[in-house]
This record gives sequence, structure tokens and C-alpha cells, in this order.
Amino acid sequence: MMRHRPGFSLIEVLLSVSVFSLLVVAFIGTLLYGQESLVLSGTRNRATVLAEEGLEAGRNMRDDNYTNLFNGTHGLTTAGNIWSFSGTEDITDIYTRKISIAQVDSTRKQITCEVTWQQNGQRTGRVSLVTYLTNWNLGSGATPPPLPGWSQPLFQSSIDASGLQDGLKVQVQGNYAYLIRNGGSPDFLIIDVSNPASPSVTGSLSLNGNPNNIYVSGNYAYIASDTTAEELQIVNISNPAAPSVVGTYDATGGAQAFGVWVVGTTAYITRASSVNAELFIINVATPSSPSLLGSLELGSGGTGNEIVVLGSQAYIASPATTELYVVNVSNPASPSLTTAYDAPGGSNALTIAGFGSTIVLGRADNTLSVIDVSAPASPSVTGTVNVGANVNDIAIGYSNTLAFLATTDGSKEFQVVDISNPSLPSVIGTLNLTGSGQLRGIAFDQTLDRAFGASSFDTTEFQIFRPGP
Amino acid sequence: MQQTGHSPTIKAFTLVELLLYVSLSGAMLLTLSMMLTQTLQIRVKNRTIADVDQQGIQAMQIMTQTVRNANTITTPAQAGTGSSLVVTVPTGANSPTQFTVASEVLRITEGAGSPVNITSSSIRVTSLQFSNISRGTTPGTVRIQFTLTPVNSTGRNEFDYQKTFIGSATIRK
Repeated sequence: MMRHRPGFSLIEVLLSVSVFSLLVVAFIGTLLYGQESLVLSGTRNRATVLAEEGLEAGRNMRDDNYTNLFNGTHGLTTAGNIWSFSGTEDITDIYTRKISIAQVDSTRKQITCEVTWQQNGQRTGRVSLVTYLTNWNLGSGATPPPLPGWSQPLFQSSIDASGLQDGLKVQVQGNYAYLIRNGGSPDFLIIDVSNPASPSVTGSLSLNGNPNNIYVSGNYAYIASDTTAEELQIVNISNPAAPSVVGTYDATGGAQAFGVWVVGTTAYITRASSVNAELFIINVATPSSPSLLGSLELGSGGTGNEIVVLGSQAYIASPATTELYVVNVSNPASPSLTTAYDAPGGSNALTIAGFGSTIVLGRADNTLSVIDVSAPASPSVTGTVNVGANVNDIAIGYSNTLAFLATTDGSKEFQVVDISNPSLPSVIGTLNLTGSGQLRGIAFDQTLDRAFGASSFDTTEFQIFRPGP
Repeated sequence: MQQTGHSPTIKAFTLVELLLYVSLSGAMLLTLSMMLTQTLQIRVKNRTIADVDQQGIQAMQIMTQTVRNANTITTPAQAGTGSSLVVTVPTGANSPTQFTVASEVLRITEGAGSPVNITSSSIRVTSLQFSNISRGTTPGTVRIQFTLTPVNSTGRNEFDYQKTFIGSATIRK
């Protein structure tokens, strides 16, 4: 008799064959996909090199002339054996390359090089590299720099501080501007200017009395005040939302302070003329308890309107016959008068700024004088320009080639003066502000490329100016 | 009397079963060996691709980096092209630095030193071209272009992979 032995049925055989073939397909598939991804990474590497080439080409064109980098989207060509832009894209092998140039500010451009290619039927590969190119060749040598838009300054934005009191002086540090007003509440404002198009007040303070001048250094703002019991007020500004007065200094006598300057932990204040000293040198290493280092009496009529300290000398703008007092402050305990310089003409000095061995003096006869003080004992005026009105305040920028002025001129309150040639300063740009009034204070920040004004206008005490197109 | 005929107790494969077994295992072995061959081929191909891509990028980076750090481009002259690149570099002992192709291998020669191969002997460097496309008074920029092909004397598919690399470098000053 036959016995049934167990065996594979056809179904089982088919099943095992199909399972096996599935495994084979999966295995081979893995290998093939691995290979494809290897090819893709190679393709991407070559795309990156091409994108780099785009940036390098931009750099070479910039080296030739910054103006070669005109804004927009371009392709590259080597026609005529030089790099130049042509069309809106260029094609190499399987790659399409586009170079976009965008303006960052007057001296910087952003270069984006994007390379795209068809990776496979459905997917597009893309590599995008970005760099920034600067107009590094700007202020070179004796030739005047190509003027960066400041020949046509424009109003950008403003802030209305409550009340009718005038904006008086302004300082800028980092992303914040510090505005003082001649009274009102508040009379000290911290303004976030990181977006110059829409500044905003982050913190404010009402000071005792009225501030006359301000100097910002590090975490502190130093205020020259008309309060004779606290001529120097020190405000902690480390928290822009909550400034607070941390210390004051009462200089001997009852004259108000007009000017203030700080170097490191030493503050210099100048005062209205009195029987007491006009220049005080104060140790502010401990802001909560400033202490006197030394003082100097400037003599009859020697009011100190404003002060600038350069190296071992302090320069004081005064309405006296001798408009510029030069004081040796190398020994703070006993400052000594180097010289009292009588600049040509009999008009008062209102404001002062300086850099290196150059002093810029704004005077009441509508002029701005550039004074060489490389020999502090014998200053000499190298050049003068008539700006048509009194200069209230001066800010220096563009590697000391431009002076920004706040003036009393009703039709050109804001002025820009080219001082790159000390013997021939010239007004290169003016701006008429809406409304009638004057600009009292000015500050300039190179990073933001903006000028900041403190004005007498009731609804725009703080103004921001930008370079023209 | 002895019983004749087959014994029901003896088990054996029938011919059909044997044939079925042989054909099934044959098919299985065939598939396995094909799979193995394929795996080996893909492995070699992967190595070829990685070789070409990596050596290409490496050679390009060495050359662009040298140019970026260089003082001047000596050869080719401005608006010129050539198959060798000579630059003067800040390090005196390495100046001039020269890139050329010899026996289809890219070489770098630094100063008075002897040439050093940048690419391996398993890769052929062809169509090497340097174009000096600097503008007028600029520090200089050079465009580098070359093609890499694996050595493939037997014409096998695994070694068939050719890529062209194009890049540029501008002197930093």
C-alpha cells in the first residue's frame, strides 16, 4: 500500500521563490540607491565649486571697481577674458548659476550665488552661497572719497517726546541713541534705533534740573547739568528699559555745567564762567561716588561751552576772546593751561569736536573752523567754511572725512561738511527739515550709517537722517 | 514462496522530484551568484565614483586655496590660458608654486622642491586648463578647469565615470 509522504506543494515553492526575489530586489535596490546618492553628492560638490566661482568673480569685479557690483540678478561671462555680468543666469554643464547683488548700506553689498540643477526627473538640486563685499578702497590717500550719498541727506524717521521742550543733545552707542531735552518730563530718553526706519523709546528718566550735555561711555551716560548742586549726573544705562541715576557730583561753586567728556574712568566737565574753577576732572571709577581729581580756573569770561579730550590735552570751546583753551591734563591732579588760543575773528566758539591732531570748532559767526593742534601749544586754523548759520553741534564720521552739523539755519538745519582736506572744508549736503526750528544736537553712527538729530521741533525732538540714493 | 515486487517500506525520490529539486536549486544558485556579481560591480563602481569626486574636489581645493593665498599669478598672463599655473606665494621657500600635469597626473611643485602628485595614478587628469581672467589692475583671478577619468584599459563599465570640474579663485589682498 502507498503511504503519503510530506512534501512541498507548488504553492509553497512559489511563495518561497517570491519571498526570495523580494529580498534580492530589496538588496540590489539598496546598493543602487547608495550609488545614486554617491553620484548626487559628487554633483553637489561640483555645484558648490561653481557657486564659489561666482563669489570669486564678484570679488575680482569689486577689486576692479566697486561700482561693477550693480544691484540685481546676473549671470556671469568670461567674454573678452575678464569676468563680467551678462544676462540673468549662466549655464555650465548641467548647472544654472544666478548671482544676486543686494545693497546692505552705502559701502557694503550682499552677494548671493545660487546654483541649481536637475537632480533627477522630479527633484531640483540647489546650492546657495552668500558673502558680503565692502567698498574697502573708499577713503584712500589724498583724493576725496567717492561721496557716500551724504551729499543728498534725507530725513528718515522721528520720535515725538511728550511736551514742548526741545531736544538738546544726542549720543549714539550700539543700537541705542540717548537724547536729552532742555526740561520737560522725561528729559532723558533711550531710543532703540536698530531699525532706523522705526525708532522706539525703550526707557526714559526725569533728571533733577535740566541737562545741558551728555556723553555716553559703556554702561553709563554722563550728564552735564544746570543743577548747581549736581553738575555731573551719572546714569546707569545697562538696562535700556530702566535707566537710573546712580551718582552725582557737586563741583565747588554755583555755576552750571555745559560740557562733559569721559575717557575711561575719568570725566571732564566744563562750566559757566564764575569765580570758581571752570574745568573739573573727576574720577568716576565708582560711578556711585565720583571724586575730584583736579580742577582749573580758566580766568575771566572763560566759560567752557564744550570739551574734547585728545590724548594728554583737553580742548575747550569758549565764548571768551580766546575761543579755544588747551589744557594739559596728563596729570589729572593739577591740570595746567597749555595755551588760550584766540582764533581769527571775534565770535564765540559754541561747539567742538576733534580727532587725532585736528579740532573742529563751530562758531557764532556762522563758520566751522578746522584747527591743526599737532603742536598743542600753538594751534593754527587750517581752513574755515561758512555754513550760513550758527553751529550747535558737530559729529564726525566716515574715518574723519565728514562732519555732520546741527545748525540754527531754518532752511538747512542739517548739514554735511567734507573735512577730508583740512585746508578746504566744504559743505557737500544740506537738508531742510519740515517745520521751523533748529537742530540742536547731532550724533553719527558708522555701522548704521545714520545721523541722529536732537531738534527744537515740538513733535519731532528726535530725528534720524539717512544718506541719499 | 518468496514474495516478489517492490517493498512498500523503501522510500526514494522519483525522477520528477529529483529534476524539480535540481532545477530549483540551480535557479537559486544562479540568482545568488548574479547577486554577488552585481554587488561586487556596484562596490567597484562606488569606489570609482568616490575616487573621481573626492580627488577632483581635493585637487580643486588645493589649487584655489593656493591662489587665494598667493601674491601674484605669473602664468598664465592676464587674458591668457594654459595648461600650467605658476603663482608667487608669501612663503619664500614655496615660491613659485607650480601646478602641471605629467603622465596624466596633477602635480604641485613648491619652490625648488621636487614635484608632488596631487591625484592618484588610478585617475587620469585631462583637459587641464587655467584661464587668467583678471580685470585690469586687480590682484588677479584664475579659472581652473579639468576632467577626471579613471584608468580603464579594459573598457569595463565599473570604471566608466568621467567628470569635469570648474572653479575659480581670486587673490585676497
